[in-house]
Amino acid sequence: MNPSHATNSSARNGKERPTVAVAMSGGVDSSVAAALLVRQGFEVIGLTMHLWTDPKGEELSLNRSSGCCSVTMSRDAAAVADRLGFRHYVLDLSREFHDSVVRDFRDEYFAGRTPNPCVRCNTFVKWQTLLARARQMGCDYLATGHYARSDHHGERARLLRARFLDKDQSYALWGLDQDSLCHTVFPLGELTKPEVRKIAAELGLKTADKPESQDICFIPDDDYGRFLRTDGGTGLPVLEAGEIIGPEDKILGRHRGIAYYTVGQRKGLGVAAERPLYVTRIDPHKNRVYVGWEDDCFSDTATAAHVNWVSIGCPGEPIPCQVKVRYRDHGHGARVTAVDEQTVRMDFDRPVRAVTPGQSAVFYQGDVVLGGGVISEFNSVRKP
Amino acid sequence: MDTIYLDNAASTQPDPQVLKAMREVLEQRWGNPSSAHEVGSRARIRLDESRTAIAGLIGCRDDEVYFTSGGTEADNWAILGVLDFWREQKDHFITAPTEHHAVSDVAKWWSERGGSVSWLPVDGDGRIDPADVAKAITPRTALVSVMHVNNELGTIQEIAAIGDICRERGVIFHTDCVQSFGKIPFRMADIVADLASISSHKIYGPKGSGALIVRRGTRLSPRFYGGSQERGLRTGTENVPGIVGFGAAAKLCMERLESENRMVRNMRDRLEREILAAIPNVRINGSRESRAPGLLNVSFRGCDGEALLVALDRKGFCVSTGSACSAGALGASHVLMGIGLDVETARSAIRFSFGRFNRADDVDKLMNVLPQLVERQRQTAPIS
Repeated sequence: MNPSHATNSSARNGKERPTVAVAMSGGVDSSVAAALLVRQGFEVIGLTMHLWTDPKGEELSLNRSSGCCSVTMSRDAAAVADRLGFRHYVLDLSREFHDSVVRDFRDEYFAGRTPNPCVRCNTFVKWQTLLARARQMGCDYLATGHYARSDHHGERARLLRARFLDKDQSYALWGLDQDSLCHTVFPLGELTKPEVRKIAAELGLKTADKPESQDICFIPDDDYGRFLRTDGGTGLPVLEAGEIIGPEDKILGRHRGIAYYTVGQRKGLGVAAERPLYVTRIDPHKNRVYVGWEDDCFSDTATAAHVNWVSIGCPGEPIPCQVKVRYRDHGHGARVTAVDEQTVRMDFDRPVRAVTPGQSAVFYQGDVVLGGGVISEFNSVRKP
Repeated sequence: MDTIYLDNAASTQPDPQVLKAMREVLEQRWGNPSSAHEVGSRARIRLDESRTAIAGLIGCRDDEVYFTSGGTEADNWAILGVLDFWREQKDHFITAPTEHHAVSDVAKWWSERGGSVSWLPVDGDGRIDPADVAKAITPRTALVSVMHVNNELGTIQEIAAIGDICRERGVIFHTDCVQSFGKIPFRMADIVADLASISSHKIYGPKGSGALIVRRGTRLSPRFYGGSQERGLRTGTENVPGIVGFGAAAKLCMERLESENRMVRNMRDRLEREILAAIPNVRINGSRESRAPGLLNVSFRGCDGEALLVALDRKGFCVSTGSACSAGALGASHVLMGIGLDVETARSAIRFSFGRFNRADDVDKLMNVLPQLVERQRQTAPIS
């Protein structure tokens, strides 16, 4: 999406200038995104999502670091909007966030998987809900501070990686549909983080020196066990101790509850061995955590479910592409075959380490994000 | 673009005469009213006049008016002061889920601290049956708190009947009159209340100013210590400009109450008629027989209240989805949920509230845009 395209399409609607709703967290990225849109001549409004209040009423504790929805964050966003001269609103999307992100996060842990809540938040809250609200408010587009790009190729809109790969966030955006993509602007897609910080400083934005957000926003203390317990998980077997099974099916020790473990994990196993051990598999039904040597953590084939083909139609043939199996991943050569509309099989050119159920597998061809899905199964092979 | 302010239940524009009175004390009567000298007594004179004006409007004695920082402090003080004073003999508090948070959150706190709280049932219009109050009273009941006019629905409670029951049973009765004081005619004797909370900024006075009316003989503990102001019950140097502004506002209400009451009722009734005629599938929330004159709460089914608020704001119309929350977050109202609306209907509600500075053609201007905005929202509503 570029502004000239936006201007043209909007001129057809007979309006003066297109209006963009910017999803503002109060952080530097979305603030600069808003500033750039104002510069480009769009009419801008700012929207901050109120997503989460801790069941114990500890909303304010989110101020500490990265909460998308803390009171301080929305005030920062409001201050930026005021400075840049556009209106800002706070929307309560906590119900949607809980229903489509928090509940899924819990369910996935209970199923022995390691979910990626940011992907679901983007798909279901930022786009499915926030974009719809923005359109109800009379806006033409939604913009975010994501480092990603989009363009048009024939009939279809395509999702592209950011120009600079070190900040690329396209991995978490594979759930967008064509309609969403056509009504989305990514103002930061061509910029580096230092450039963005520089623009923020030039504009005198209050957010120019904020630290990066990293944690899962609704678990500010990083204590997943406490979260799973307080969010309705009391007494569930995922938080009960069980066996750690080593190579050759030997019982090596006890785990604290499978929710504390993730495939590929090395630290915190509490098991002594001559070489480092890694989690290779989690079995929620038997309440077991399987560990092995590093060589045992590899897969050469995996399955992804809930697949969305964001930039292309569902391919009839196997397609060669690069697959990222986690956010910080450079990608692996693979052949991706659609089993059905929502399921793919991925055959990796070389075995890939720690393919983790629950994480997203995202398919790239060059800069283009073809689609993605949620890793559901993988095989184990020894590293060749 | 002109702003048309239809949110007078949230706050009102200070009247020019209020500003004039405040300016006079800030410039020429800035002394401490407790000081014995000339400068202090010049301030004291205005303070006393203001007390008389407020007492006159609500029909109590001057020494029954205790100035506070606003309605919330008055509510908190009334409840905590009574419960604290009587805690040795009585620990039971009766209130309703549809009260303002300044009451209901205090009740929750009291209950968490081990006190006992009964929540009165409310009907679909937000009304409380006085017979339910009689049923809920026990020998341990210290206090009943039921608001006069509901801030979201406008529903007027039969507080005199509730007050009669309380007086007969020896229970203290508090009522939040923030939405009725200065807007509908009543006197303390009519409502049979021992304690009544009132606020300045709802009647064209400044924010940060209000009062608790304490009927003679009603015993409650102070919340603040360290001085003799307000007969030792609410200490601290008086907010003279705030109080004087409040007094000036009360004086104006005294003169204009009847004519303004008629004017806002006419506008409200016309808006209600026109909405019902022009927009299908709406629900009028709150009692239509017994309702504050300037307030109209409507659910536009199939719309999102927050999005409609923003769309109206962008056209210059200020409305509300419920009571404005301090975080600026807009959400499903506890009052609308409390009267039994489903979440979707509750979240589609908009509150329009008229006041002194509205003009007759404000309704016409609103109706020029409202039907189209509702229609567009209904067409673009997200599929959920």
